[in-house]
Amino acid sequence: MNYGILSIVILYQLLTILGVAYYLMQKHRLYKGEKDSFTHAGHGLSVPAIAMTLALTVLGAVHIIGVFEKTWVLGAGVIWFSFASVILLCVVCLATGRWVRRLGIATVPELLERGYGLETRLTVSCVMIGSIFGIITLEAQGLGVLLFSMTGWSIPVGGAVGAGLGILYVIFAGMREISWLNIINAVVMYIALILAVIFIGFALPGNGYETAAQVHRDAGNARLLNPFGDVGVIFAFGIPIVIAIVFSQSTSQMLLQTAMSAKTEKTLLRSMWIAAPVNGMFAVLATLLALAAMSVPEFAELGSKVATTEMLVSLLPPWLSGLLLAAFAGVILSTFAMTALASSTLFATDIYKRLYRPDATDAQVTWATRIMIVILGSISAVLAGFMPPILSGVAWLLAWLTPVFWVVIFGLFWKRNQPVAITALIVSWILNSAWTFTPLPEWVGLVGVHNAYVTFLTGLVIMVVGILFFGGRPGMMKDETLIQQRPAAMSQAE
Amino acid sequence: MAWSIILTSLSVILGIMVVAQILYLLFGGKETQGDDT
Repeated sequence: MNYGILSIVILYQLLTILGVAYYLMQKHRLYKGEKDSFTHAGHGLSVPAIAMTLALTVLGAVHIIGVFEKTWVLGAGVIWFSFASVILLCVVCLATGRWVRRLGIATVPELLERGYGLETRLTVSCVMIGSIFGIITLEAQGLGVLLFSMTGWSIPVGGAVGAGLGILYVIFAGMREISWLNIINAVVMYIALILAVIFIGFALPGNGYETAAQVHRDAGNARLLNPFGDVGVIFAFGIPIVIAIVFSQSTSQMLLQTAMSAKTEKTLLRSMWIAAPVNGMFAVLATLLALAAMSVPEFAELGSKVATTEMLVSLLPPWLSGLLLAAFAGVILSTFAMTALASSTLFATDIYKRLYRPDATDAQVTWATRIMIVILGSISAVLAGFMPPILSGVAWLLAWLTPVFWVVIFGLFWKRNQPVAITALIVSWILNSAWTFTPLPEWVGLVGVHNAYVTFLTGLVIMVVGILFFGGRPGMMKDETLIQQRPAAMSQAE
Repeated sequence: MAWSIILTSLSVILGIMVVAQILYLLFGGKETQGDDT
């Protein structure tokens, strides 16, 4: 067991989390009476806070464990994962995030009630909570795997420790706490990652990365060294991952809650220039490390799952491998915390307040959110050990939110028809589960087709055909009265 | 290997952002100015 590195990781996380929490508690009076203070930081976050939170929310366990593992098969083609996240962040900063910021809503389902009706709001809210909760459990599992690689702890024990840290990451001051910690973690992450890439370059046998590249070329794997080197990878992985990520996440509460917290729309526009490269370059540097590990037989023989982590722990000085793994833990914790906050906000706003306590004060909604964060975070820790491996879980989870994209876009810009929207959602969701849990793909001869394609096309076809046949009310962006229903807090923030 | 992968990826990322910004200016720029103070 590597207790030295483990203690660096845990100490770093505890010091930053408790330090930021203490600082924000000291400033508590400044935020007293502020609307949506816990869940949306009073809709007043600045460019660095928004940029880093957007960047780190879509940078989680899949980026670390998934990239290390997939590089074995796809080589630098795995960087398409980065391109997909960059496109997603551009869409959120320039389009969907801007729209929800303008409409002054607290949750995506709230937008759907305004456009369609209460039934659509509740249907989407319940499924979105479930889908985002699934991502929390995968992040807990990711933390478990990371701590397992350092300590040999079982994944459930590592997941429980990680979930505890993840709850602390958000529980004290909500969105404001997450954004402060994300700024710190993004800076530390890049310092550690760049130093690691440089150190590994010197520690590799021969002429560093050049020798590693030669090993791949000699083995007839030159295609592994170029993100565009293999057309098959682009069609089988690159384009599907772009569609899956962009259409499932651009209308998810997980990212849009951060966009709703921006001070102004221009804050979002400027954030794109920081968020996209900060997010995108992470997987590029991680891929370099994985390609290096693959070229050294001593590590390559350990297999795709542990080779890269093992190389980092073996070749880097202990202080740097500790710092790097602390940064990796921070990356996973930031996603854990944001997903926990997003799903708890959905519950507290769309279910607790909307259905049961319409007269609830902001303080009561904040406590309902906090309680849900603890409940969902704790359950995720328990489930982490039983969940399927991270990569196979993500495909099914993301596909749940893909049809919501069409319901939001059509409702904003074309026509709104509640029965058509609910039919499109329910049929897509049934097909998504049938695609994963029954032999349906074999029956229709489409084995290997990503779930997101299925829900994406089903949602689109039902929405288009349904609206053409049955019509609907004009889109929300065409209705000035809907756009002008903005909470007072947002007007003040601007 | 390292520089070639880093520079290729960075160029693609910057390219995506520039294209997104151009699309935004063409289709969404005007409405934002009115809303932002």
